[in-house]
Amino acid sequence: MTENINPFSKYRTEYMGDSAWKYFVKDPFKQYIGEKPLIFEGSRGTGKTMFFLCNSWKQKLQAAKAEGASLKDFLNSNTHIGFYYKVDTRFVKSMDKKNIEESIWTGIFNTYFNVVIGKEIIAFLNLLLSEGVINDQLIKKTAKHICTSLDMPLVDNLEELNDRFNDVIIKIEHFSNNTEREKPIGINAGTIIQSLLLSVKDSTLFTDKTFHVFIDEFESLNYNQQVELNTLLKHSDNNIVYDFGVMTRGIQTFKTGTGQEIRPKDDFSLLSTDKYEYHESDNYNNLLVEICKKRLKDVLDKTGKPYDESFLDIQLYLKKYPKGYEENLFERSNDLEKIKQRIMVELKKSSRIYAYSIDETNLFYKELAECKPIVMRMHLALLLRKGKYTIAPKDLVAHKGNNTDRYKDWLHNMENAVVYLLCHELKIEKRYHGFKVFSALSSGVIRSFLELAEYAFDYAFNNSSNPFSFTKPRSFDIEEQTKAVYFVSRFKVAEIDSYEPSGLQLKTFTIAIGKIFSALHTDPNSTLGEVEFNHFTTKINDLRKERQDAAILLKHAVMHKILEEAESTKTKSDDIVELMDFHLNHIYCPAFRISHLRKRKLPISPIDLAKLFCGSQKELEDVVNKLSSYTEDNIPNLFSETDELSREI
Amino acid sequence: MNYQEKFEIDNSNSSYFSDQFDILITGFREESDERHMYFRKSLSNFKGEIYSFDTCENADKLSYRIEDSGGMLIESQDDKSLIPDLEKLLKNKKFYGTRICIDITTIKQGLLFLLVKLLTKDIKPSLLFAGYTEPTEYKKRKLSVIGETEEYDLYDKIIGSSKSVPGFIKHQSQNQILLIAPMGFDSQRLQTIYENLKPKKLIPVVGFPSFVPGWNLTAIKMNYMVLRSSTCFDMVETCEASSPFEMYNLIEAVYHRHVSNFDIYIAPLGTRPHCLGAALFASNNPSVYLVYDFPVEKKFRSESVLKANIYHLSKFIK
Repeated sequence: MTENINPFSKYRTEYMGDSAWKYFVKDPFKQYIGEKPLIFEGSRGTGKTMFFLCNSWKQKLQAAKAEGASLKDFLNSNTHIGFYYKVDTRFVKSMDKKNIEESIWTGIFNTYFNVVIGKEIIAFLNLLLSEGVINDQLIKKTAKHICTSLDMPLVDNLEELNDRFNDVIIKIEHFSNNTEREKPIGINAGTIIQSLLLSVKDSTLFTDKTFHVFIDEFESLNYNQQVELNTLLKHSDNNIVYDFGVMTRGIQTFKTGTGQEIRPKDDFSLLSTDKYEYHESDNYNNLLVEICKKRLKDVLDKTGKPYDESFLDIQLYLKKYPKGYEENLFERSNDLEKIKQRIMVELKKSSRIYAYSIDETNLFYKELAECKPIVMRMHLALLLRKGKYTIAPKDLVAHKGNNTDRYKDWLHNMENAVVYLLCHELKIEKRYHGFKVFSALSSGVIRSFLELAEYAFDYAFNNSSNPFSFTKPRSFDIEEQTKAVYFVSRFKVAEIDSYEPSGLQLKTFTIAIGKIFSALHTDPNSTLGEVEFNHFTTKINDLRKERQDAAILLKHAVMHKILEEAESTKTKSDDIVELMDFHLNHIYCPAFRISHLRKRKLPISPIDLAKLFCGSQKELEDVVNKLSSYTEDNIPNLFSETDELSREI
Repeated sequence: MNYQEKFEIDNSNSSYFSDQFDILITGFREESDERHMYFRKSLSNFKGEIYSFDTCENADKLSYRIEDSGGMLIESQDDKSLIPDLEKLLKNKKFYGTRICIDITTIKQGLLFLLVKLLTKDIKPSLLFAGYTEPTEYKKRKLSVIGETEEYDLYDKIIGSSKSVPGFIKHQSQNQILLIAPMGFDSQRLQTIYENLKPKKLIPVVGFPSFVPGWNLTAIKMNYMVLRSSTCFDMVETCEASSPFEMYNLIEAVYHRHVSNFDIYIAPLGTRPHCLGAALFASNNPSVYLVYDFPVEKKFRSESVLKANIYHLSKFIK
């Protein structure tokens, strides 16, 4: 049944085993592996593990062998040889406290790090030895030196050295479990790694090579451990380079052991995918297309039948359909009548104010209510405007009749917001379709896109009236794509409580902020003066100063990309300083029935934000209720309670 | 030869069991917590010492209190380090050769795992028992709570599984992982561990027969998301909710079937008897990994007492 294999069912590098390289797209970031260390910063699912793993010697050699290359060919064609290490979170975190001084734990961590990378290097050296690329004389002296520095019996070969390294790890395990046992030896960071790697630099085959140590999940290390590895990064040279993969905001310190700091540009290149606009970039969208192409090719090849090149393009499956699908659904809704009735109510109210005759009122009704649902609902929103924003029905009809620029502006600015209102009022789900929409919903997280694609394929395979098959590929219909979007979106919200640390609080916050935006999107009395609030801004420095507990949770929300930071755009107030905008990750937007497009921002005071993150249940509910009824006529609460607080302090 | 290892405590045998041990170990709880006090009160003729152990949220610290059977305080200490001070205490107080019973009803799991390991592998008392008091109901959450999808209100927060279990710290190898996970009533705990470990294979375990009929289905319902995403509905195993021995046997069977292809991880998220079974197995099999997420339990999380059991564990002292 190869024609029914979902090309996107494997979206974690960890599940790909030795074949990760098959799915790896080199192009966008290949220049980042060089003689300068790299810090690849991004939330989970942004491709850090894939990038480092597929740049490690094991995966690159697998890829080379698949193309018929020998080990020597591989070595001749690769200047950079990488060793991959994913931080063993539980183990490194256990090297702390238990009546033992920090400096002793730091030394033990250094021993552990040297040994665990040393084992990776030994695997590589063993291969070189077995294929006759190097001779064991090159490393015998080094092995002796290592045994001396670790106070171990001397060894004759690499296998024995590997066994000794295992013994060291077991000794550290025992000590971590019972600090009354014999203390493992502590050494300086990177010394054994350096000895092992430099031992082969004497071979002509390696004189021009740069070895890399890729450290993934750097955020799991504690402060002192990060200092030790920062020191190694700082001292990287053309022989050995240390590169880090880290979650956004996962670096606790830039300090090194000598008190210096590592700095971007001077000491390392920074690759960060967690920038708000990243999902719009060609780089990201092209990368998605290329990733999908590899997966689709894999499955199409397995069918054993010839196929059209166009079937390798994900955009064929995630087809964008013309506008109008939702409007057809709106037109068929019985609830449309209720909106017409509301228009009549508003017209009657106006007729008393403006002394319209019954005939005039009926004429206005015909003009404003008997038209397409989206336009009709926009008219209702405009009729609801009050005070200085009031639009008289007669004027509105005139604008419509003359199709004035102002009327065109209203249509342009409000259409999307009206769709969300109508979906809510007519109980119709907003539809999602098209590659660009899927890409935008993924918010720059490759794994989110792959999950969306996986479920789109799943729904298409399971479509009982027109089941999808790779023997006869077709575009997915709007319903198949929409179902996938809602499923993944809800799943992603549910998944938040699995994020460490603070998953429970982060989920509560996410749902609370989603409820606020949703209420603002679906307010039946909305006049659409401010459409589609879907991000917020706050005085970030005040939050950090006054509520460190909430600031930490905010940091975790950014770390897990529940929120995306963006430089603050201008608001209506001129004297705003120190503001930061926060966008909800787009993947959550469908679950909350809110727009994922960059729209209006809601000012939230640090006090209210703190309550949303870590307030009592009552405080949380109060803030949700208060912010859900925010209107453009309200004074932004950003400048009320905070100012009161600063006065108090 | 099979012999009975699990007994229900009642009027006919409470006097007998009161004489079977010299030291009773319990957790720290308020005396108004009915389940916490039930086992102790059931042993009306117990004349030994009572050790109450507690640890902080992340299981780094140790506090203890020693009382006589009448509740008179003999000694207490706070702010010790769980490692190595628990072992030192057990050695200094000469637990070796004595008869010990651990009331596992309210003792924190982070501490329980280490205690079980120390007693069975290092201290080696002459007899070892455990007691457990079953609840009739767990506390349910009020509806209409913003952002809350959990049905039960059992924990204030979860510290997380990125911390090692004291006494079971072990370096992760590069082998594929098989995770055995007795499930509880919280939808996110197993999900979190699954997300962090990324096991190749998941074997969820549901407590059946459960303390109260239907709780096995609740556990499956609450963990539906992770069962679905890991496509392991066919792998669900059952194990009597109140039996550490069945849990031990189940893990043992899975272990022998899969140890050649996987590193075996156990995440005991279900009942305390299941936690005890997992701790006993992991203590006896150092190649197994024990993973836990250190939930901070609510002060009062269950309602009324169903019954109390006592387990004879001396055969695990090796």
